[in-house]
Amino acid sequence: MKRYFRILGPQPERDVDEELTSHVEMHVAYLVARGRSPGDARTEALRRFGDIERVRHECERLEQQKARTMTRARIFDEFVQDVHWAFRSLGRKPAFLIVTVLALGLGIGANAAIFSVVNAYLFRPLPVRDAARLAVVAQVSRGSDVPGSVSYLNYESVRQLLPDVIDDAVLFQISAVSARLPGAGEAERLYINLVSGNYFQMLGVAPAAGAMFSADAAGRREPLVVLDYRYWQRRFHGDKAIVGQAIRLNGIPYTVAGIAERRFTGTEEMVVADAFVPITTAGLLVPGQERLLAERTWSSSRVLAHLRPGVGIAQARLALAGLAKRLKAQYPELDTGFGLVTAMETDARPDIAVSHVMPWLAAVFMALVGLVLLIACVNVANLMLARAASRQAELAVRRALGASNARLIRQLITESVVLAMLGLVVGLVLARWVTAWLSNIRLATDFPIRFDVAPDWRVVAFAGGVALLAGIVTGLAPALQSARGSLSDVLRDGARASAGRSRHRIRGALVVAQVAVSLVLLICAGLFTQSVRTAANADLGFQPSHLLLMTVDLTLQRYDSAQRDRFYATLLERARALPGVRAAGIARDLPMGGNNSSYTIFFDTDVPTVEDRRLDIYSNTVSPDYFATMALPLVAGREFTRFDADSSPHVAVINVEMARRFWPGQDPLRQGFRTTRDGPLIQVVGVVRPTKYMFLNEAPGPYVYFPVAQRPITNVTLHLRTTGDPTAVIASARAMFRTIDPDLLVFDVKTMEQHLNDGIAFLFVRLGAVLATAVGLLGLIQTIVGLYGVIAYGVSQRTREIGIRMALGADGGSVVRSVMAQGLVLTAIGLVIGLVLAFVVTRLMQGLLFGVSPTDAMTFTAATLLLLGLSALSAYLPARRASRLEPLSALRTD
Amino acid sequence: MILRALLLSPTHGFGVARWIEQVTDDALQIEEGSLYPALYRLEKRGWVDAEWGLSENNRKAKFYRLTRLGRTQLRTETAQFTRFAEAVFKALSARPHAIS
Repeated sequence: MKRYFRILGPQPERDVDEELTSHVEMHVAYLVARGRSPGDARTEALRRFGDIERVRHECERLEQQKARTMTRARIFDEFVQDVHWAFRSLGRKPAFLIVTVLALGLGIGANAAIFSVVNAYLFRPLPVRDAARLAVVAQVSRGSDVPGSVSYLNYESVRQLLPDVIDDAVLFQISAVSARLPGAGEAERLYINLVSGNYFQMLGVAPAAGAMFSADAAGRREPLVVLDYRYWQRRFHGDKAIVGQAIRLNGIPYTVAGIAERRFTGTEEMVVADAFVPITTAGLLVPGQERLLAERTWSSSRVLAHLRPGVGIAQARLALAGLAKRLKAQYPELDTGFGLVTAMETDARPDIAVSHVMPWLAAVFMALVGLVLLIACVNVANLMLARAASRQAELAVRRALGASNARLIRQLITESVVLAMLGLVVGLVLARWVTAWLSNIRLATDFPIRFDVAPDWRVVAFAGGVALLAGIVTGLAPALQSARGSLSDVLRDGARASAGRSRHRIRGALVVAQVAVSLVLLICAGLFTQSVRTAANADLGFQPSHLLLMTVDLTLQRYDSAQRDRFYATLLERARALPGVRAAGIARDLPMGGNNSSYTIFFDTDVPTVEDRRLDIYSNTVSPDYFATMALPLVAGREFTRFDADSSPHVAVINVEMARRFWPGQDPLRQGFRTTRDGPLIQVVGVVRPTKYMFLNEAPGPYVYFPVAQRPITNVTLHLRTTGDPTAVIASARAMFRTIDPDLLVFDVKTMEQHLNDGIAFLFVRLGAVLATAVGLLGLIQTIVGLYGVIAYGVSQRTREIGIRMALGADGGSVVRSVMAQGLVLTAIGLVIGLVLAFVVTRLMQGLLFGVSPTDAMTFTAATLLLLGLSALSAYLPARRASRLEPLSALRTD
Repeated sequence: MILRALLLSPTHGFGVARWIEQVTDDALQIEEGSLYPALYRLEKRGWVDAEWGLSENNRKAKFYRLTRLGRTQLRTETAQFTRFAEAVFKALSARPHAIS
């Protein structure tokens, strides 16, 4: 009965039918025995029975229900048994347990850690209301199809003119201000988010104290400020008494309206502002800035829109394109290339302009750690195979006692899944460490960049899934192996060698796979490391060493233009006179500082590749001597001098690329352009070599420099070219600033090398290299351990054979050679396969590398030799042990 | 009732039907077919066990046996039913004026 159930499953129809028929038959027999005629008896029996079909139906239904509950209960029972059995058998071999759990833990931990980062940048929604419906809206213009900032008036149009597609939208832009807190003597620098009035309402941000400012209050341009929770904790130790008090931002008293709730971290994944201020008060903070509210071409903000429920991103894209066309027709100040683009917020990180590489980067790193886990699984599978050999007898006996094959396989897989779950615990702890370390990385800038990659439930769920998969994969090979082979085989051969040949072949194949995968990982790590080295030595177009950078913000000082010009002149003069300083210059933007502004350039005549005689071009505003300080060579013409004042003819220095593109074959020094259609003509006076402006791997584009006296700026960085260590000059330079203006706030003091290495320029490349190297080493270690394990196990299996050989006169050397040959053959096959794989894989990462070919011969050779050397070592150790066997004791091992 | 039928010895559905016929003097003319769904439900609740066997005249039949759980259940249900029956009996035999 039981057997029949198990193989075919329950057959309720047949059982019920048999039972009911039997009842009627018995009744007929009963009545006949009491003297009724058979026909009569049957009619009577059927009458008494009632509706046989209905009964049969009802019974079948009940029987099926019962069968289902029973199967479920049985499977659960067996599962509990299996888990119990797994723990007991693992507990008997603590060394095996520790090694396998660690191996799987490292693999799972690496996966969880990388996934935490991926999760933070690709999946985790912003902590705001209806985050799933948030889309980034950005502007494109002619000459730059890279999506960029949106102007306030365009934002208002987007918000109001597309009611079918967009519910509401918020606007925000980060800005630095000087803040004087109540009771504090010195001003401090604060990064604030200038936001639209509806910001907090639309995003559903609750106050931790006080209240968020309302759209009405913002509309009235009330100077109100909402503090970020972390800033409030840091600066005011969570004291609610600050609500209602005033803090002075750029000298203007702003009343603290409230504190945003803790979980709210702003509307950008990587940036946390210290405070939020209505953008309608921008003119209070910086005189003249109120124009950003009134000029459609003043594009400086980011925009997030709530799509209407049910509206897809494609529909939104179409609607915005249509709106852009309408706006362009209505407002002639918008250029012909003007357009509005959009992407879902999670698809637009860290910025809509660069978000397209993120999935690639994520895929490459996930693949790398996936391979590490694969190696770990192979290792554990190998260890389990070795163990299965010694357990052959136990399994065969269990099978002989009636355990089915399926049941045994389930049991073995349960065991490896239990291992993987223990590995999961180890892995999650590891991932927590790694992500805590990553989250603590600070960029060499005072810009409030944040890497919050702490694991959340998504990471735990992902790691759990990975662990389960790893457990099943790991258990499958040994389980299928063990489930083969019968009791008689085992009893005949003894527990030692059954199925040894084929098992050894499988283990050899696994080692080959490990070596191949490990080589791919090493090569990837090597290429990343090479990229970093090339990046560090890359020709940036200027000389990055011996440069000290100090930034000042003159906004708070409220200098008039004469005072400002005098300040710059004095500053440069005194800075040059500092001991240890060779040259000094001032600039608005740092190369690769993440801050880039463009000007619209108007040409008086037609120029090639430019439509409509106008184009947006990236620019910097610099002082006399800037090019000398940067060691940025002039190709033609001159630098700016102190004679390029506001009252003198307007001038500009351009880069070679701009000259080549717009005035090919002509003398660039005879050319000019304007920055407004009817503004003064700006004469080109110098041509410099291009540098790297924004990214390491950018292609040179047109770039223009303006003199600081003709383009008023208040936020500038002093560049000091020093003779010796730049940091030695910091103290005297700070003192110099105090003598010029004791109230001036000097911040973000760093060397150019720090700025590049620990700033947004190189940090990500370097982090990538660190992670890739860690992953490569992890894979290497696991592979070497795996290889060692297989060779050592092989030696232990051949102990008797080696003993006989040695007894027959073979010397230690030949034993070493024979054992090592086995290991090296496996390695060699693995290396060949790995090299082929690497050629394919590295081609995919081409876009992520800098200055190194994806098939870099040196990297390939070095990785191959490293792996070969370590494999030889890991084969040599067991070989030497084998050669020192005492022949007699070796023969006695059985 | 069915449980009571099984109290003495395990039997098949037909046996249960005959037992009921005897003890009630055929007063409860139930459709014998409806016994089976009832038996299946008892089995699902774990009050009876079922096993195939051979009947007295060598016919294949499914025998039902009371489980320990079934016995306990029978005791409590009998007690409950008896109380209920007593209550009904008292109510019916009470004199009308006794109510007021």
